[in-house]
Amino acid sequence: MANLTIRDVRKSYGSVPVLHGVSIEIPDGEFVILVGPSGCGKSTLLRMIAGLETITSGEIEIGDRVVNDLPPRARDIAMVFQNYALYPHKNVAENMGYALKLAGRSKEEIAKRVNAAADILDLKPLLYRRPSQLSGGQRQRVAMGRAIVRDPKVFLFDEPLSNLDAKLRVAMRSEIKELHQRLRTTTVYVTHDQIEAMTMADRIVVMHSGVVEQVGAPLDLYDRPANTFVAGFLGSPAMNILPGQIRRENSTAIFDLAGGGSLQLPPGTVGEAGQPLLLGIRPEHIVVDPTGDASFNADVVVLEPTGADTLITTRIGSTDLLVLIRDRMNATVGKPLPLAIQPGRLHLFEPNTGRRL
Amino acid sequence: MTVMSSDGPVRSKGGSVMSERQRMILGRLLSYLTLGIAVLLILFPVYWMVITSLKLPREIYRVPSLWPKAFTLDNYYTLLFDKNFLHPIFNSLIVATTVTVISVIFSAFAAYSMVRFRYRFKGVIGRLILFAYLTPGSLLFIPLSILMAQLGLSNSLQGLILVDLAFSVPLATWLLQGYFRGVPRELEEQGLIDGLSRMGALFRIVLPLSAPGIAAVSIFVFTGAWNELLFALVLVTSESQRTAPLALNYLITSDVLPWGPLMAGAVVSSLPLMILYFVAQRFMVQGLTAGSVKG
Ligand SMILES: Nc1ncnc2c1ncn2[C@@H]1O[C@H](COP(=O)(O)OP(=O)(O)OP(=O)(O)O)[C@@H](O)[C@H]1O
Ligand SMILES: [Mg+2]
Repeated sequence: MANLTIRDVRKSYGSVPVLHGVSIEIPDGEFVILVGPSGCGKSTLLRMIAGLETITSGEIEIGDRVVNDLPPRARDIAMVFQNYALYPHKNVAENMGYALKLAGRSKEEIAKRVNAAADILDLKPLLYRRPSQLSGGQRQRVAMGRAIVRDPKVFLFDEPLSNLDAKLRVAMRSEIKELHQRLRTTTVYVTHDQIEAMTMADRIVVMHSGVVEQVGAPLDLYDRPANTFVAGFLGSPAMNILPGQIRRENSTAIFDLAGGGSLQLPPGTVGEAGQPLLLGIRPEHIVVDPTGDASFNADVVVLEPTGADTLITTRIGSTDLLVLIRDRMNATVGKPLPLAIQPGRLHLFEPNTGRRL
Repeated sequence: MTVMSSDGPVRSKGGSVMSERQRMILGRLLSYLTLGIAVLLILFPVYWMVITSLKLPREIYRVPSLWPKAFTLDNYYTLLFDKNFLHPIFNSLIVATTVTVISVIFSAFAAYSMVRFRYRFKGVIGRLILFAYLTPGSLLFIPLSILMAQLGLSNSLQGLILVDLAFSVPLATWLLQGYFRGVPRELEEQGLIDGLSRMGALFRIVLPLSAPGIAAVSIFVFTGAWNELLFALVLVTSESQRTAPLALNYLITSDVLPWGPLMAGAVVSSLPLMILYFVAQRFMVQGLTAGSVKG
C-alpha cells in the first residue's frame, strides 16, 4: 500500500524522445488506467515504474521514496505482463510462490499465502500443473495470482486481458475490479481498450505521443474532454468533430459547416459567433426528431443495425455525421432524416490547438 | 478420412488398385527402408572399427571378413600397456573438459550481453566474433604457435587449452546467442521483479531454459577439442603431453599400419564421446519454454 508519484518523467531511446515530461499523482489505493493509441509510451512508462527501463529525467516515488535508482526487486511492486511470462519450468504453485521464496520466507508461510491467493482466483485444482498445461485464461489467472501473493505496494498491469477472447475479457474485467475493491492496492493498469478504461478505472490517464492529454474520472473525461484528442479517443463510436462556425439568427444558433450545409444547435448554446470552431457531438447524443423546431435534416448514407441499436452514417453537405440510435430504425438510405442535438451535450474546441473552449 | 471410407479403393496412375491402408503400409516401409540405409551408412564404419580391433593381425591383413574367426584382446593389451594409451586419453580429458567448461561460462556471459544489452560497437563485436569463428585453423597455426612459444606455453596442455579456446569461444558464443534469444525477455523481467539480480536472472532463468542449447554447445566444443589434431601436432613435442588423436597418430611408425592397435585406440578414444552424447541427449529435449508466454 503506497501512493505513487510521477514527476516530470522523460524517456529517450538514444536521441529519440518517447516520453516528454509526464506527471501523475496517484494516491494510495487508487486504480489508475493509462490509455492511449499504440506507441504512445504507456508500456514504457509502466516499465519505468517497475524499474525495467531507466529514467532519462524526472522522478518516480513509491510510498514517498524516490525509486529512480532502485532495481526492480527493491521497489516492492508486482507486474502482470501481456503474455503472462510464467516460468515454464515451474508449476503453478512454484510460480506463485517464487518471489516469496526469493525473499526468504518460510515454506509454511509461502504455502499459506499461495493457497489463499489460489482460493481467491479459483486456482486450487491447478496448483501442481505446469503453465504449458493451462488454457490462456488460466495462465492469466496464475499471473494475477502471482502478483497478489506478494502483497506489494503497487500492482502494474500491461494489457493483461488483450490475449483473451471477448467473453473471458469481460469476466476478468469485473474480477479484477472486484479484486481491487477487496485488496485496495494502488494499481496502474495499461490498456488501449477504452471500454476497459471506462469500466475499471477510478481515474484515467489519456496519453498521446508521449504526453498526458488529460487525467480524470472516467465519466468526467467522457462529459468534459479537455481536447479533441481525448474527445475522439474515449467513447465508441467516436465523437463527431465538425469544423465550421456559429451564426446566430434571432435567438437560435446555427452551425455552418466548413464543408457546406448547416445544422441547428439546441437552445442555450453558448459560443462566439463568426469564429472558426470545432463542434464536438457524440453519436449517441443526436436524436431522430421529426417534429421539433431545433431539428435539421441529414441524408442517410449507411445504416448499420446491431440488434440493440442502430448506427447511421449521415451526410450534411460534404460532412459525415455519425448518429447512434438506441433502438431499431427504419430509415431509408438516400432519404433525408430529421435530427436534433440533445441540449447540453455539445462540445466546442479551438480549431488550432484542439483545446476545449 | 471423413469423406472417403478408409479402405475405399484409390486408383493410382498406373491403374493398379491399392487401398488407403496398403498405401500407408507401403509409405511406412519406404521410410523405414530409408532410415535403415542411413543408419547402416553411419554404423558400418563403427562396426568395422570395433570388429577390426578384436581381430588377430593375420586375419586383419587377409581378405577382409565381416566376422572374425577368433576374438582377441591382444590389440587392447598392446595399446593400453605397451603404448600406455591411457595417459594421452587422460590428457585429452583434461584439455577437452577444461575447454568446454571455460567456453560455456565465457560464452554464456558474452552471448547474454550481446542478446540483452545495448552498447556501443555491439554490432561490430558480433561480426568480429563470427569472423574469428570462420577463420580456418590452418591459417592460424603458425602465428598461434609463435604466440604460445613467446608465452612460454608451447609443449604444455595449458597452451593447447588456450589455443582451443580461441576457436571454441566464438563458436559457442554464436550458438548460445540463438538459444538465449529464444528465452522471452518478459520471463527474465518477471524474475527481476520477483527478486532476482541480473546475474540471478541469467543463472536461474535464462540458463535453465537454455539447457538444450548448453548441452548442444558443450557437445560441439568437447568434440572439437577432443578431436583436435593440427594444433596438438604443432604445439606438443614431448610424449607426456600428447593427446589421444596425437598418440593415435604416433602409433603409425612405419609404412605398415598397425591396424589392430590403431582401431583399438580409435574405440577407446571414442568411448568418452559416446558417453557424453548419451548424457547430453537427455537435455536436448525441445520446447522447454512452451507455455511460458502466449503467442
Ligand atoms: N527499446 C526501444 N528502442 C527504441 N524505441 C523504443 C523501444 N521501446 C519502445 N520504443 C518506442 O517507444 C514508443 C513507445 O512505446 P511503448 O511500448 O511504450 O508503446 P505503448 O503505448 O505501450 O504501445 P502499445 O499499445 O502498442 O503497447 C514507441 O514509439 C516505440 O517505438
Ligand atoms: Mg505496450
